[in-house]
Amino acid sequence: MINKDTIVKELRKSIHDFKSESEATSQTVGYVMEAGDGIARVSGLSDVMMSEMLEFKTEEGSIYGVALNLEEDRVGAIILGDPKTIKEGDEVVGLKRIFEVPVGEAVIGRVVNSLGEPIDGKGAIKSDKSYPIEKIAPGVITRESVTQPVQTGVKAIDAMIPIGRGQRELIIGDRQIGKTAIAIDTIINQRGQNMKCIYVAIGQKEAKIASIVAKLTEHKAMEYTTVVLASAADPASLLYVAPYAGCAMAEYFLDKGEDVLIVYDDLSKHAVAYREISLLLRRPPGREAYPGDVFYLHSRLLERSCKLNKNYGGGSITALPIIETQAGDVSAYIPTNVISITDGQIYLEPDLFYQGNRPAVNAGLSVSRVGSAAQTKAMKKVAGKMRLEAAQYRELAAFAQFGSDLDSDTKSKLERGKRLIEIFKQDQFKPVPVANQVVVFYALINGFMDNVPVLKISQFEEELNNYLSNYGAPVLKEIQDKGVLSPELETKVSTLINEFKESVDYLEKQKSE
Amino acid sequence: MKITARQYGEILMESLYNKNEGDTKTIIKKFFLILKRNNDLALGEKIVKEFEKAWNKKYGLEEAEVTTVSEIDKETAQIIKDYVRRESGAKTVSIKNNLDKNILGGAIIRYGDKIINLSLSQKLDNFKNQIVK
Repeated sequence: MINKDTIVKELRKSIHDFKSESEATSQTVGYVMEAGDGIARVSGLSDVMMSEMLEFKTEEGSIYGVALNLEEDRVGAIILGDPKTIKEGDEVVGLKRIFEVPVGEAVIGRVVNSLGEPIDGKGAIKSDKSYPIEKIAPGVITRESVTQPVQTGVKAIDAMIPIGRGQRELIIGDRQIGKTAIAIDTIINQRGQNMKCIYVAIGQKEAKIASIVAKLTEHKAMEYTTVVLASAADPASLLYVAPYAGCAMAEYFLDKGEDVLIVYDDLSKHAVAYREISLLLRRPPGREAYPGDVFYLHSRLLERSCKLNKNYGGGSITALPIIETQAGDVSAYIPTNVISITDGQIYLEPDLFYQGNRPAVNAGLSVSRVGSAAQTKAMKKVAGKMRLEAAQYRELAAFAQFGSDLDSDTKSKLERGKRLIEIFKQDQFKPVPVANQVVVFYALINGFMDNVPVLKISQFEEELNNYLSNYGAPVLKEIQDKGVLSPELETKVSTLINEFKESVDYLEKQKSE
Repeated sequence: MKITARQYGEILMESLYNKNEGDTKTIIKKFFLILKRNNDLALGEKIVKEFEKAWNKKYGLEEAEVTTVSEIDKETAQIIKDYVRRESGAKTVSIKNNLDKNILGGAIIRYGDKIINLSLSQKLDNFKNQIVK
């Protein structure tokens, strides 16, 4: 209920303001000339600004839009809402501000649409703050190089393609190959890592999002996650706005000095939605019928991900944009654009996927331009060797297909490589903590696994992890907290692994030289 | 190429500029024939509007619409005229007074594509929006 005092106060204020505000209320109006396909052409609105929010006054209440085309005698605008209710001749008012979405702690744990309205049936979002969806990215003086890691919990990524807080790492691959799975695993693994997560679904099936939300809830990941959904059924204008809205929500936490992870799933559909809008607005088409500014479309979005320095709060936005390729064609227009914008890419390959290497990360084509700056010292120590071994294995494996007459050194490298590939296999929704990863990688590169049969590697790893949680908790904690693998710690780890191998070791290969 | 209503309106205005009554009649007749030949008679209403716009621009005319509950007096009308002249840069301002009981009080001034809504109904709406959250 509204308190009486508030009413009296507001009433007084309004009466007081009534006289003084008489000059400020001049508004620019226009009239709808035509509306359809989610866009409208409006006459008048002579001093409307680019990206200004417009209010369409229809019989069924107000609908908002954004001015995108300023022409000689008309304005082209996208309609954010049900376009059917807008009729020719309806009044349109320029609101003199950029479109805003509600932000704040209240959006955490919610599923919202591109306008920040809840669509999860959990009631209204009580937030008094809102941020504009378009904002200029932070400048050079506010930034800092990436130093802190984002633990994805995916072994292949944490070891070979480390991601740092404030980095933009593209996940690219064909359809149905586990791109979303990597992103979701990463979100699940952020539990207790002091990260807020925002998952922006652009043009996805609502059934898929429902199952993702269910999975996130099951893993208690919704406690720090917001899902921004512009489904395949939504008009192109909402798909176009969704990633910017998600980014605005992330920027709120950035300004508070917190770390945010934002997933754009996926930007190819975003580009397609933008193409649709552009063509309807009669902008000239370019390559693959995309308008001339598709590059800017994504670069201005991804540039807003950053790591701020201490003077500016020290927050960060890590972006994981996803791009879907057609038949593995990474040299298409949108993939090349986004590859060049981001600080590296995780390339997922169908061949690997069907061979059973899941996640199907192609270690050769995947890179992280931030590199090992975003790894803890302990991880750096073991992962450096892992990368090297993986590269050597790839080379030898291709070579060794021609003959079996190999020297013992090559043979042992090949055997090690096979185990390495096995180690990188990982089930979905089972992120591995860093400390465990360090121990497992340590075991592999120091030959502790050389006498475990290749087919038993995953079992061995699972049992090792169980053993560690029972007997190795203090060691894991030390690795986790210190982030350094000191010689003393190394001996502790190797004794642990040896103990484990002795106690549970029923898989021992007969001859170990 | 298709000729738009705006182009027709501007052309008509240009050709009628500084003409005497006799000429005006023939020009309009010819203009009508052109429209007929081009199959653009359907644009008639729009052309009239565009013509008015172009004419007003040429002569520096501005039409202001004032919506009030009861008719405004001459003094107020003059004040509004002065204001619109100042804001729009027009030479002559004419005022059209609409009466509408639904706005409850105050006034809505409209000229060109500007609107100044100082009606009581709007104020009450804003007030309601402020206290009902």
